[in-house]
Amino acid sequence: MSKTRKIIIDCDPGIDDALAIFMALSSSKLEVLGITTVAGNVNIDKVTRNARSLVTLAMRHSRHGSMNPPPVCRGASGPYFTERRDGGHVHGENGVGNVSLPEPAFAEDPRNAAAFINETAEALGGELELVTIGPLTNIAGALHQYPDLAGKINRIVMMGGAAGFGNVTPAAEFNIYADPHSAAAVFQSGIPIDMYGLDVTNCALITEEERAALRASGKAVPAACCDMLETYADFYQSVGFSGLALHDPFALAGAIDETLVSFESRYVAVETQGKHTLGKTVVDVFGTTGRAPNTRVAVDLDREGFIALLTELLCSYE
Amino acid sequence: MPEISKNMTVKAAKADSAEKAANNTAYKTEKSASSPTAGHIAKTHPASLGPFTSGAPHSLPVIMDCDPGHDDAIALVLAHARPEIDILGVCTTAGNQTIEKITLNARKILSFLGCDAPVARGSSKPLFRELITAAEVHGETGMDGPDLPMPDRPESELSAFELMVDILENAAEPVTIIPTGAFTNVAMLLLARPDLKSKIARISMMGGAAIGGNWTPAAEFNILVDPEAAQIVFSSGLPIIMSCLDVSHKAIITLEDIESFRNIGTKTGVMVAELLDFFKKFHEEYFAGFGGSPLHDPCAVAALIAPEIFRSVKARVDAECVGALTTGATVVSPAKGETYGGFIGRTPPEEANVDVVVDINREAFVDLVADALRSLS
Repeated sequence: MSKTRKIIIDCDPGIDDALAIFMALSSSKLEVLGITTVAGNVNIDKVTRNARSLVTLAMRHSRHGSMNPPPVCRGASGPYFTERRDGGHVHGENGVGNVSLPEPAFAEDPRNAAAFINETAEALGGELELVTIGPLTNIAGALHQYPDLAGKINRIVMMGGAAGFGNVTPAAEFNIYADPHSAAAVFQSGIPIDMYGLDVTNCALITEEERAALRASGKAVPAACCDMLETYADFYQSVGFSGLALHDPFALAGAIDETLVSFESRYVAVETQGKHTLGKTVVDVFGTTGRAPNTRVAVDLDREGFIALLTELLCSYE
Repeated sequence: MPEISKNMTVKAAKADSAEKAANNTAYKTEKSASSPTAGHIAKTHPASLGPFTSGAPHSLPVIMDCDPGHDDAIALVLAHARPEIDILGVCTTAGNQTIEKITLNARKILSFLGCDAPVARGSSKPLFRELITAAEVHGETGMDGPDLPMPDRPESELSAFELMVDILENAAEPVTIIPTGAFTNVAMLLLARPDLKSKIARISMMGGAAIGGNWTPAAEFNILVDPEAAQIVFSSGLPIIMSCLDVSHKAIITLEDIESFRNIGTKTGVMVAELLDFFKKFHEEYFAGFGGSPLHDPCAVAALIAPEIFRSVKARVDAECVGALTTGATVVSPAKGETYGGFIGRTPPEEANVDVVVDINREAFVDLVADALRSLS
């Protein structure tokens, strides 16, 4: 078995973030050293509280009995230069499909997200990986605040962007559009990036039958996921999808098992000025920029394998 | 079979994808469509084209607006060969090479073909920007390869703008403009003589891309040369058929196709084969994954002659003019009811300004070109 990957999840829960967190906390391939939050799908208070509630639920049903919760550290309350945009129409007013989650059973960590990321990276001596499934404000902030940090991060596994069409606009995906300047800084940082964009995550669909199978497990964690996904389903049906696109869980699944995804190495940068293209991830498919690749762009996936892994991990809770 | 697509080819997941669910036509999923031999093109003809069939009582009057350019030259050959098209004039615009070189090239091609349409020199640079050229692709002359004789007829005394005005003012019926270079001439016409819009039936252009680019990661060359001009065209309210990289990167001419053109035995067949002998060098070096050369510009002509071999998507299209990395990108927002590239259209249909041509039956397209070469001496 390969070595456990030590990760911090930087997130904005978020319905699909919630599933990703549950997957990560139950996977033996990952060690979750902390969860940092960032305003995105809903505001910073809500996403931070949601993160603590999700961890509380996961701890309560862990198959390993009592576990110490990973620290949950509050991050940025909005993007650097642009207006904050909410994803509440997708994720419900409370960010988790208006499902009632348990009261957080542990306190928020007093450390700020950027400080926590830097501290953890220093302690690990280059082994830390960041799994970013929200806007990239915390990461850009940390890189700016701690100039040596980039060299201490092994890899960023990112849900964000698209080589093809966007979702917020025809050109831009939500996590990048929510803070294009931060995303641009992250792509320029020199840290190797695995980019799980809409090209694959729009195909990481869960069908109604597969959701029914999760619910049939009769367990609390998959049931909570299915409850949250009801709201998500309303949105995806309204825009004509045949299933629900599990963006963040697929990035997490790729971090656990890379055989589920194929990559192409590309140079990627982010548009920060376009009138029609703000927040577009510009992927150099034909090498016309002459720049060396900085990103592994996910281009293909094993959907059935992904759903099998998702189901296994969610149903591994007691 | 050569694998042309370096882009996304999603395997298993496509079966459940939104694309397929929303796409209830006979058209195949995008996996198969990315193959150069994809068939089953849906009957989604560009609506702005209207009924137009081979053997119609009269031909479609057109103005060619081009920067030859190997693929521009083949577009001229195709338009000249087909009885459905009547070339009223050929305008030139700087792009692939300087205005002097490409105007000479246009005259050489028309002389070679024995086509009497006037050739009028157009803009020597974009509206606001410095000219960029594509010598890497088209060579020093802009049309390297065949050794064509000097033209046996003079350049028009009119400028491209004056020729367009003259043709449109005197046209008995609305004229189709086929721009296969930068859009500088057409933009100037639309700005200076908006009253002549009623004399323009449609614009069938080669340019842009729904996904990606060829000169930068986000921009196709013709738009990149003069993005402001392109945006003037997109904002004109005229019916626009946009054959973009999404389709032209599938309109691939293989080495075997080049030999079959040469073996037709006509002097035009040999000349086109010699154009392609040069054109393929660039694509072999930089776009090897295509398995051949993309015939961009002839798509803009073929989309008029044989709409049934293409698939198009109604969309709102804008040219990005102020991007740091994306200037020259055509931002394509498919209309409600359309699905393309995993994007489910949401633009109100009344805001759609372009029929974006995105796919082609490659073999039928190659046959169309071969038939044209066969029909000429």
